[in-house]
Amino acid sequence: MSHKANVWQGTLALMILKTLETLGPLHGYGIARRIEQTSGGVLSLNYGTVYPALLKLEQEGTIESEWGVSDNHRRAKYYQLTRAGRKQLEREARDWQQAQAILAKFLSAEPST
Amino acid sequence: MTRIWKLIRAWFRRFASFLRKSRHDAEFEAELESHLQLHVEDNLRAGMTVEAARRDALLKLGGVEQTKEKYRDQRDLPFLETALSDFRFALRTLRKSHGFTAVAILTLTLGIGANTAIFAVVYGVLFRALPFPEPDRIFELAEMDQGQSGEMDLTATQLQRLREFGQVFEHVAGWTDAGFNLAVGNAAEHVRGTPVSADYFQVLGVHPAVGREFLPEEDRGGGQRVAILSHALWKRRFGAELSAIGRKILLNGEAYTVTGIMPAGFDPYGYSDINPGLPVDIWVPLALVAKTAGSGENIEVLARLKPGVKQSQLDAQMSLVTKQFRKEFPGDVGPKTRMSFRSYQFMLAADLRPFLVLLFGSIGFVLLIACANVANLLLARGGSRAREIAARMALGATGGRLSRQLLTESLILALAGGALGFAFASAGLGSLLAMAPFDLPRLNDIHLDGWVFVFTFLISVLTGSLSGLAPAIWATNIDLNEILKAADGRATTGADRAKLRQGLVIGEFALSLVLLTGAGLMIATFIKLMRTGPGFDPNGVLTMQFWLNGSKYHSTQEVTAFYRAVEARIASLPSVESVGIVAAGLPLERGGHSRVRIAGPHQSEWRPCDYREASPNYFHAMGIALRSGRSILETDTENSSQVAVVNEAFVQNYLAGRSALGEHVFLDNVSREIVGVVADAKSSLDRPALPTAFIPATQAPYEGSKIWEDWFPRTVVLRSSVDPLSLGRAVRQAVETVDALVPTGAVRSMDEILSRSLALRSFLMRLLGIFGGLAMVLASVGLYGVISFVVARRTREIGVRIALGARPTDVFRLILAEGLKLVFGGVLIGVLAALVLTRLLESMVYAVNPRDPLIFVLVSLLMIVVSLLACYVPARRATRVDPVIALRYE
Repeated sequence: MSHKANVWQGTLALMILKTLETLGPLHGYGIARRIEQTSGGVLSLNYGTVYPALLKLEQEGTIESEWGVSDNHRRAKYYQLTRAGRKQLEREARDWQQAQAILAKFLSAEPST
Repeated sequence: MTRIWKLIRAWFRRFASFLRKSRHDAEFEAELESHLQLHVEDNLRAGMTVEAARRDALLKLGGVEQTKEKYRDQRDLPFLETALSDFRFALRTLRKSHGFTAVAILTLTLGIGANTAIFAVVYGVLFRALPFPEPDRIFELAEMDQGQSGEMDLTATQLQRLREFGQVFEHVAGWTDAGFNLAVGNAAEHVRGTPVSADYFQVLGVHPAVGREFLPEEDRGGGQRVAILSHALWKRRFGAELSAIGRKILLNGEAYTVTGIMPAGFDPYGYSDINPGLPVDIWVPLALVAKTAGSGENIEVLARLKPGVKQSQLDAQMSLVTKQFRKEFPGDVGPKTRMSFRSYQFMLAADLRPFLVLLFGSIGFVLLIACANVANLLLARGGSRAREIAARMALGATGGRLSRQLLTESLILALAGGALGFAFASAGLGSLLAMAPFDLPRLNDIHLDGWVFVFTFLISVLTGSLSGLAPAIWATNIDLNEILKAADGRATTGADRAKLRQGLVIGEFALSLVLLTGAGLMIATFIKLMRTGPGFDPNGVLTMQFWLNGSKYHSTQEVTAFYRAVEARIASLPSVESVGIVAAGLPLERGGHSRVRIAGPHQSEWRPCDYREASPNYFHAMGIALRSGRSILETDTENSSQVAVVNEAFVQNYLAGRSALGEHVFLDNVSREIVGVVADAKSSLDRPALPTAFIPATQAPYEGSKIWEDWFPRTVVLRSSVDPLSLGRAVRQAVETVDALVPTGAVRSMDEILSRSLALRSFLMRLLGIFGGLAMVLASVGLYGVISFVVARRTREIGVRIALGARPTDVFRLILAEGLKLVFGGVLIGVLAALVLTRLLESMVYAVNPRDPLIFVLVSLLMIVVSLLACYVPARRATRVDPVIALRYE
């Protein structure tokens, strides 16, 4: 797997966590859809890729899952944040914003004369 | 920390899910199904047709199977899964070709088994921690003299001085070797005893199980007569009664109070030159002997370092000590001698280290040959599997995947070989150790345990990887089209593989040749030593040790009267030809070492000289030839003129070849006339004889004899016309009849002593011989395989040749030439390698040039003859090729 893809994986996990924080318990389809919508269609995402990412988060204990019933009475597997997940989201969001801020400053620096 | 924890948790879950795969598969299936339904419903709501909605959902998902696969990769342990399937597949293939499997496993069993056994020896002797608390803090005093290192003995005064440099030491203890006549009731027994300083037990960290150790005041001044017994002696002589504590026992005729009993199985590992193999049974305070001549000058030093002291601190301290000692004791510590402390564990096996390293290296060679052989077999089989492999590649298997599978096969072979090898080693270790010299230090520490098992496992994995490497690499470079095009699936790809296989066989022969050359050199050395002759005639000679210290003989006159009584009794036994008694040591064993000064016109300095006290018939009984002058006679008495008999080495070294007779020498300040010269009876077969002086037992100073006897037992020596060992009982009885309170020791024939003095060499020789033979057999099997392969590959060509009129001998020669080409290559490389490597043997060969051309030629010839045998069968097969069948083979 290339380096880029790894970064992508990392950000995907963060997006999933944020989605679950915002919307509460949600199924895989809903999460994929929400990520796509939030990005304003800029991100084009194979919905299938959220599942390995969800599984990984679950294995790490940041989310947990449960079978439930959807609004339109379909059986679906619902994911929700655990306490550890909330903490991780908080931490990673902060790290991410920091990194972004630094990079933004860096990039906006004027060339010296 | 949390990150690691998370990782562990994730892997644990993955492993758990790996074990319950099917259920999870079903669950994800359901999840995907619900995903698709949700998506389709959304799409329908957005106005798509049913068909388009479904298609769009699938498209957005990115493929059901692909998703499942990615999900599975994340869920379980994919590499474990492939490993398992490789494993199953390899088992199936191996089971299908049992001939190949059996040969490969047998080869590896021999290689790994032999390595395991030798490792057990090396580990037990060199590396196993000593059974003391914190054994890595126990050090022994050593001296480095111009690069040579060895144990260093101190005097009591020096030991006391050493203790004053105490910063790095917790305790510094001294000990020395001694023997005691132990009399309990009216039975006497000689036991090995060790005078030790009071803190000796603190150094080792082992304390009496019953009673107490010595008090500091018991080890002060002249010392008090107290003793600690071994558990074994306590059981043997006191029936393990607690009342033994506080009892008096007679040691060398003096009463000692028992203060303690050491725990069962306690072994201080103090190696004894004098009583090799005899366990220590009694400890007494060092102060008792510290001021005496002899023992008091040969104190060995053990120390326990303070916790945390580093070797560098120790060394710094010891260079201070060395400086001080050079100033204070210039006679003992020369300007080039450096005092140091080495770990006790290291010192115990220091002499054996080169031998063991040699053995370990040699057996490593055997394993390499076994690897090459298995690689060879795998490659040969690769030939018939080329089609299968090509087919699987065509179906999409990657090179890496195929290599992994082939490696799995060789790993399974090696692990099976390893398991069998471990069993083989545990069955064979007993006989290996039975071959070992019995006074090998730490013999009891050699056994198979967890560490040896780990070693076996590791070399099995290594062996598997090594032998699987060549075939695996070959498989990835396979040319798919060539093979699939070829009619019989093996016609064209053989060439590079054949070269690889031939290379392996050349390597095998080269390694075998090196091993066989080593073995040849050891055998040549052994023959040379046996031929050298020990300087006496061991045939029909029996010896028996006895001790007089602590008996009722308190003067030279009384001692020699006892000698005469014993000699008279033994001489009257049937078949005894002559009997004599010697004190201070037998040939081929360590004995008394003194100094001598030539008197008269050729006056000299004091020079080192071996020293023995003998009765008149000793030379005849031992079969030491008289060269000139006369032997010791009955007429040499205490009151007659003082005389000595010397050996030829004495004359050569100290009298510059002058006629010795009539010369006067000083031995311990007594002037003696040399009246005879005898042949050199060696103290060690592989060293020139030392100058030695024999004096009549009747003229031996009594106090001096007592000191010698502390180390070297007096010995009855008799020559008989029958098997000497059959007289053992009678000889013991003869001494008992004269005086039941004189303890007797080992009864041994001189043949036995002779072979024991060569035990380590013969052990090494036999092992190298076995390894060399094993290597040669393996290499021959490899050669046989390759030549058979050549014959099979060239069947058609041979058929053409025969059809064109080649005679069977031509074909035979053709194939033989093919084999000999490899053998000559192997021999050539082997000889070159051996020329370099046999230099390592320099210190172990004797009177043999480690590059002796004769041995090189003989070994090379042996290899060529054996290889001809290995080629014979396939070559014969080639001559029987029927051209009609061979040509129709298409």
